[in-house]
Amino acid sequence: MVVRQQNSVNGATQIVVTGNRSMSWNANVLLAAALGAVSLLFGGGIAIFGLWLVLPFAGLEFLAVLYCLGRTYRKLGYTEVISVRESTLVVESGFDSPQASSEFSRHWTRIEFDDPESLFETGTLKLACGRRSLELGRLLSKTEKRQLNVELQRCLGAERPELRLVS
Amino acid sequence: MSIVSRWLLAASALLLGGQSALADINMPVGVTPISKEVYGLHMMIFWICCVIGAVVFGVMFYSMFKHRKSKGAKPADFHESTTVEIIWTAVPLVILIAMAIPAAKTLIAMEDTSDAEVTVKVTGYQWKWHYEYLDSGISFFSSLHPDHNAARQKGSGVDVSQFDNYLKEVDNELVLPVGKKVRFLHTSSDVIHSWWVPALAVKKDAIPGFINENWALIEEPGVYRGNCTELCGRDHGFMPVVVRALPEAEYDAWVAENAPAPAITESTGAAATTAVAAVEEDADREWGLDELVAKGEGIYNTNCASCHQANGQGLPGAFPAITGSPVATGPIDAHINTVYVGVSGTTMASFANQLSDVDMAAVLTYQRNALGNSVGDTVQPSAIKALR
Amino acid sequence: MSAASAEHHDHDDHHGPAPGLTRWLYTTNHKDIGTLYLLFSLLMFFIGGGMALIIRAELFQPGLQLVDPLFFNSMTTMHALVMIFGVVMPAFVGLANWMIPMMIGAPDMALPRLNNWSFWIMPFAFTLLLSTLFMEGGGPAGGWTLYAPLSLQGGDSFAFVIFSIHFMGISSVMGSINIVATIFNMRAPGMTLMKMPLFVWTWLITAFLLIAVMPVLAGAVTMLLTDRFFDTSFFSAAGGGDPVMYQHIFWFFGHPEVYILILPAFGIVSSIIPTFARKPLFGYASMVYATASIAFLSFIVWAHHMFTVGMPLAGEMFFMFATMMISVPTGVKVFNWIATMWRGSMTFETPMLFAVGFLVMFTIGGLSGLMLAITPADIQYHDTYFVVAHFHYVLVPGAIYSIMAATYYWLPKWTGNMYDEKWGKIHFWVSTIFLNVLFFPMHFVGLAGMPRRIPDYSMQFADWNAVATIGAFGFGFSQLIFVYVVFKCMKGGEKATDEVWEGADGLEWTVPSPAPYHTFETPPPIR
Repeated sequence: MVVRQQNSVNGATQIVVTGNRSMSWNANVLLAAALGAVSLLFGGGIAIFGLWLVLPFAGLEFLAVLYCLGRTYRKLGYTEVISVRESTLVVESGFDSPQASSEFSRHWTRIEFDDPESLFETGTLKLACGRRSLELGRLLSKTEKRQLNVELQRCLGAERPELRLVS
Repeated sequence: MSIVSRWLLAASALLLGGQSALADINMPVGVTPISKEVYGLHMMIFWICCVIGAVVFGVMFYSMFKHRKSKGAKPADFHESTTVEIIWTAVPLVILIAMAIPAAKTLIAMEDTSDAEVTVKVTGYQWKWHYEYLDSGISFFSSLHPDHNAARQKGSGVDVSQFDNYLKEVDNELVLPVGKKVRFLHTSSDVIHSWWVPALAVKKDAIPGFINENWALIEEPGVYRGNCTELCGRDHGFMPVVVRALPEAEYDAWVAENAPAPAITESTGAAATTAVAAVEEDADREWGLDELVAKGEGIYNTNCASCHQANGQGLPGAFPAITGSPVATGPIDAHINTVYVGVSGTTMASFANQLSDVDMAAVLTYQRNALGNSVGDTVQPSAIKALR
Repeated sequence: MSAASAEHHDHDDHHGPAPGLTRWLYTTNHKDIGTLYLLFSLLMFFIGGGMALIIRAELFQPGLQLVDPLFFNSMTTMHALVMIFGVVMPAFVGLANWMIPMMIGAPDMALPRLNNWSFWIMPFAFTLLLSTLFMEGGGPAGGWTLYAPLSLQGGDSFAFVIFSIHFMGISSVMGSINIVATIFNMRAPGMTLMKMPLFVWTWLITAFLLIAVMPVLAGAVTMLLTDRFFDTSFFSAAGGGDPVMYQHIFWFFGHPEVYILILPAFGIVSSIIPTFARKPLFGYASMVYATASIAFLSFIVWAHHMFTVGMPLAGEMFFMFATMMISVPTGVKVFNWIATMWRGSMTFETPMLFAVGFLVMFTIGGLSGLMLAITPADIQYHDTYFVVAHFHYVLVPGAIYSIMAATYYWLPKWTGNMYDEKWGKIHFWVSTIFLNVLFFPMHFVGLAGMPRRIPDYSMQFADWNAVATIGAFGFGFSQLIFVYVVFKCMKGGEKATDEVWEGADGLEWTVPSPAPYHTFETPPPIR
């Protein structure tokens, strides 16, 4: 998902790049618990008859479910926020909270977007300045990458009236 | 008979309400009250399913014929109706209840094994049946008839269509009385088998460590044939069940003739006692090598050849060869032990209860001195007798 | 800056295909993995089918002509294991991989690398399983149900069988978890649960079933393994174990497994019939509830596979009634499909032909299933060819036909090319005729008393067995047409239009075909 918004504090233009999360973490925990409860219930019921070897498999499976749901949820929370300042672009990224940030000069930075003809390749989108480069939007598709490309071009380009910048 | 003519016959029989031509494509009516009830249930639900099928397919094919684009049909837009959903949930439910009630009644009757007059314990072995009449003490094994057994071997070259009841003929039939409630006790000595005679509507699993019950009241004398129906290893397809139902008087005579010594009545006692004594004597006397080998061949073919093969080569990995085997050519006691006790965790069962002293001695001697082996020693029946 | 780049690494996605064969080995793209699953399933279909032809060839005439009875038993065993775990399940997972992300508006599966592992376990599992046929003692010959104590008599190759089943189980569970995680977490905004296409719903419920019962299978076969090799006696009567308990827990897994093999088929048919009737699916909500009811009922009917083991009367009654109940939601589904067709504007291209074939013949299998539910009658039917006819009617024109319908329906979308309609139709008609020649006579011989899993039979069954064998060879070889049509379409052909089928409804048709490597990162609007 690529969203352009104004920062509520300073009014700066920001581009937020993130995945779609369609279920809350609590609901994920409930789901894992429900799936685990059913398997463990069956394992436990069978263990009453002396056939206890189902239980360890049910337990392992529960752990696998929990891990996979957790990993999915975390992965989908990966966010990149590109803030447009007067002479720089600040890219903050991380899972749920900013864990890394880097600054690019608006003047000297270019966008490297290889947008292959083939429908089976999404291409890569990079911000590059001198020998530095940073890939953005790895979670995005071709269409979303194109959208992000357009948004970034507008931010890098000459000062334009619709961009309200922080002084 | 060609398939077409069979079909025509079956169709005409169906129209005329006949039964006989349907024998090859429908369940037998059977000869017990239960089998007749089961047949009735089967036909009832069959016709119910036919009616449901006719309605469902009728509507469907009508729609496919009428509502096609090439006929200029324009699609309607409806896609929901709670009323209709409730109707087609409720109507099947009612039909199901109507079917469940008679089914439950029959089921209750099937499970009622009380007040039986004759009890037969049926034990499954790989791959034969053992019958034991608990009232009269008669007991014997019942295996596939030797002629059929020879014909069914791969590459036997025998035209199996010459047999009237190919694979459904045994050496010793189970003899049962007509008009008496017979209770069966099912168990197994090795793996799970299942004892089935369609005409009696009796099918029950024979499970090692368990005893299952079942019963039948046969109403007409005759011979009724069935099979083992639970996969039980290599020769699962070759352990038939044959039941001979005799009128009560003939059955009583059969029992009297075959019952072992303690159960023998005064009148028939003398002859039977002589026979038993002869068997006893056989086991005690010294047997010659050739005599044992000659007797052993038939026993080997009935009891051993299904796994170890008629030529003694076995099946690599599954069943060891007898020819050149360290057991059959090694110390005699270990060889006796293998056959008498069996080998746990394998298909090799204990033959202690399956073979008489003479038979076991003969088959052991045969294995040591035939099939390419020539150890030269003999196993005497007295040696087996001493083990018991 | 270098520190910053180091933080940007946590991605499972590859961008575009890697070159050469390694593309297929390392791919984490859901469409590639879907293709791998489908091709694997096709290969296994011919291996399992070859085994079926060996079985039918031996049964062509009475008498033993071709194979040893032990090898015959291992053919019946392997045929079932290959067809269930190697054909139907992977094919459904393959279809799920292709279609589910598109249908819910997700860029890919939730856990692409896990997806890659789930697939690549399968070839190893099946190599292991099939290799047992070439070991001393041969492959497993105790039936696919591996009933103790018979299965414990097998040779040392039994350990390989157990491990291969473990691998298949791990693969299925990982695939299912992935599907559950994707459906719940990665739906596009606006794609609520009750807006999901039925294929997604049926797969979600299938995944629940798999997650619920796979540990039971794993535990059951592990206990067989320890009984065989480590002297435990879970199932050995001699050591105080209980062989019937094995059957109980096997079928506790096995009955839900039966629905695992058919629920996604319901989803496929629910997508295809509305398209070719040019009319929305009738009773969407009731379809969802019916699917859920079937899944629930599948947990409480397992012992109907065991009416002859000697259960208490009350148990037999309960399982009879519960089993009969299944026909209610199943009936609702069939009625809904017919109501969807009613007053539509139908055309009969190949996918629709297969869907209608499914509907007719699955119903026949369902009706014989109802007959089997009646316990007293089941005692006569149990373990005869009547049962063989029943489950082949629900699995071949049921599960397999739905997979073929799905392939014809979505192939233009996957490849961008139209398949050869004429040969597709020929494939349907030839298959359907031979299929009925193959399986319908099995009802007759079963009722007349022919037990299943026997390599030789009495003369009275000879005619119909000969007919069935002719049907089997006809059906088997007509599947080569399918291979021809599929590979011809993959190589090229008439270009498919964006909306391949005129009446197609549902999200996946809004992206241009062939589907872009990643579709729907921009959430599409939901009506």
